[in-house]
Amino acid sequence: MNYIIPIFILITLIIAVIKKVNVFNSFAEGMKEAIKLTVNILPYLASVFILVELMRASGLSLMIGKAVAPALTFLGIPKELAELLILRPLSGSGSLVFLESLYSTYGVDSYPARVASVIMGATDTILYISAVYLSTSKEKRSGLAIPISLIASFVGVILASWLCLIM
Amino acid sequence: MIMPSMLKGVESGANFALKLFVIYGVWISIIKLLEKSGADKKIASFLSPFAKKLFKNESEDAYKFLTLNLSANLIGMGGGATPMGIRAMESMQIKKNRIMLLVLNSCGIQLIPTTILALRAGLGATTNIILPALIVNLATTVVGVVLVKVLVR
Repeated sequence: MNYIIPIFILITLIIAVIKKVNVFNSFAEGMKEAIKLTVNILPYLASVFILVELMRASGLSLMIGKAVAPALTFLGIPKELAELLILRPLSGSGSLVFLESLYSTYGVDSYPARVASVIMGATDTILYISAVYLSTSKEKRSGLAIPISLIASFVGVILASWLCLIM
Repeated sequence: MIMPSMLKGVESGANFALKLFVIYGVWISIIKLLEKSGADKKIASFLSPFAKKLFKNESEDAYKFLTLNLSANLIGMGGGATPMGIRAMESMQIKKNRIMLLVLNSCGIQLIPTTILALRAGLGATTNIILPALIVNLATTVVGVVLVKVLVR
């Protein structure tokens, strides 16, 4: 499993050379886009980090955690994930911030951090996607798309919590 | 308490943004290479029969955007998937199919969670989450598709 990423990158480079794609220019373009993307999300990251710090300092984090802990524990979901689970469907950069704070609080290889990583890798910002995808379409109603996606993702959260115990 | 917390928040935000820039710089470039090599179109043509089963009775145009959206998602081209998804959404006529597309995109059909893996690698992670992430991804996708098929008329 540890070789997947290097092999993926190597194959990409080989195909690019065979197809005569200009590799250097592609990297320069990639960096340009990365700068744009980073500058775009920096204000949101900084704001969410302020929110996280204030929630911690004021004890709100602790209260939310305490309020939902029994339900999470019942389903086998680590209770440290309470805030991440609330924010995940709403905001990509916001949930990344909570992931980072789980990494720094509990360590990247800890059980809650691993479950959070799997959840981040396997679910998406449901409400944001529906809003963006329907923004230009004539039909604006998303019907059952949001409830169905939320249910499916929640099944994923429970499964992730179980899988990380044995894998 | 308030002032130091806020200052620390912005500082963490700036530090984290730099970390993300490093990851994005590498991955957007790799994905650019894939795009220019025509990999997304290759995967799209491979996905075409599958898409026609899942989304019935749409125009050829809609299928083209659909498969490009799905293949961009698979290789982790989040940004590249969105414009294709929007165009697919505009060109699809059937409500059930539009909901299916929203659910597929929302349940995250990404094969390799590149940003998360890179973040973890940067912190010296010794455990691996590729396999559980793949299994969970598959499960959420299956649950989502089944629910759409059963619940949406």
